Amino acid sequence: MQGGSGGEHPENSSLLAFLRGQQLEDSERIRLHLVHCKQCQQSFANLSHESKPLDILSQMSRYQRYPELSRALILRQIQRGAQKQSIWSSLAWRTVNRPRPKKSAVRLVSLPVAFGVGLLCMTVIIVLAYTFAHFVPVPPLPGVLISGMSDNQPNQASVAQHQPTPSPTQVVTAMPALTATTITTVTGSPTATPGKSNHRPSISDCSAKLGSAQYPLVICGSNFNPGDTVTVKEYVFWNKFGTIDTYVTVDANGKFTDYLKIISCKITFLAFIAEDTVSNPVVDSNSLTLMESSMWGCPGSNHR
Amino acid sequence: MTDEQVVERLRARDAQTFCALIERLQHPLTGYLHRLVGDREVALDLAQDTFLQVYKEIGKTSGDLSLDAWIYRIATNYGLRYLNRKRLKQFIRLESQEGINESLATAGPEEQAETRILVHQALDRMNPKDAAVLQLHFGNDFNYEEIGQILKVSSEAVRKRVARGVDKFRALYGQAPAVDTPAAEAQLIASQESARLGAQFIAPGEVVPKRDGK
Repeated sequence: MQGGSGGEHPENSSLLAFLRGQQLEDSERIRLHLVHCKQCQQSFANLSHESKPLDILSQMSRYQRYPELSRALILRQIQRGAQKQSIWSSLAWRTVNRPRPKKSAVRLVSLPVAFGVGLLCMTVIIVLAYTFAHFVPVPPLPGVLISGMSDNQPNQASVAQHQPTPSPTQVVTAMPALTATTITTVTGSPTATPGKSNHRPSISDCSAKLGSAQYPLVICGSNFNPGDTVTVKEYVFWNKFGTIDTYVTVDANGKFTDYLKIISCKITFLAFIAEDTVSNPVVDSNSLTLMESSMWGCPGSNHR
Repeated sequence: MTDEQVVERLRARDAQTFCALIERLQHPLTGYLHRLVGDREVALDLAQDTFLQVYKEIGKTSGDLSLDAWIYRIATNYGLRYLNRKRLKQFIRLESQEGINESLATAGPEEQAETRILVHQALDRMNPKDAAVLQLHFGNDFNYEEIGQILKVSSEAVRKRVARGVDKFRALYGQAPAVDTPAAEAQLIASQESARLGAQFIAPGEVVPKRDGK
């Protein structure tokens, strides 16, 4: 910026430094400039006026009185290598011991309380998130699967024949009409069931016999305790892995039938297992694995 | 004794030199800290901490140490750290905002008590670093080069920082609610009364001490 005298206007900081008598490289130039430049003279006067109250700081320093610092004490502390009480601990002492209005006490308490409340909220959120993540089953079946129609009629003719005591691994190819290959794997050793000492509870795919357009997948169970409620766990994959439990009641012959309705062909059934939790001890069926799950009405199915 | 000799003796743990150093600097240093942090007792503690730190750390320094600048740098760091913690506490409302320390209000003639309160309130509302620069320059008469040594910045930076500080001060000085509230008014009256009594006490036999160290 050009001043009236031809030279550049000095910055305010330079003017202030000049005003305060600081050493400047161009102090002579500023002085000459100030002689001619009205604008800078005005700025100089303003700065002088504005900074004037600060001069009182210098006066204050002359009036401030303090007790002598105990040189002997400082030296003794240093020489002993003792831990001097720090500023923060002495501040803490003063904070604790000085009389406080009640309002301050409330403020003092408010911080840990707020912290505690925050912690509690976070814990609740984490617990809820954990619960939601682990206990909410596979999507609430928007067209996935409707099941649980149990048939516990004792005179039901079409029940799957029970298996003899299975060998540790038994592969059963069944239901050609369903074009489903079923692999039945027995887990664990055969366990004696009360009243059915030679037969372990088992399940099988009896869709070929009992399946219909409405319920294309039928799981039959046998050798369970009559009257018990059995949980049929269905391991499915539909976007992600999950389980669906259905509950059926065992008839007088130790059998049950679980009708499953397939609505979405996108669902993949991985395995089934029936668990009698009423029985003591708890007994499991064999696990039933569907190798192919082309269901009724789904592409590739032979069911029409 | 030159500064270099003093530094050498301090490095050699000469207790007498250390005592002389405390004697020379304790009042200006405590006054600076007092004006910076606004609390007399805290300033005394900080000054003591500063001298302890000087004694502990002087052996680790090397080269041509500018002793006073170095000591004031330690004191400034202590003061700024205290102010930052204090502001944090005020921010989370653990501590109520306290008014001007009465001993600052009374540090001068009675007729200037209000100006002292206003100046301190304005500085208290500024960035502590800017306030420290103004305190060093206006309160302790350090020149820009010395302040640069204390803050480890160039003289140019100090020049700009002082100008910026004065600018902020001007803006805040006009706004400072010195006697707008009944509490502030009561404080002013009390400080004026104390100043009057203090002036009477000092005036008869005692010469107002001049600054012999910075």
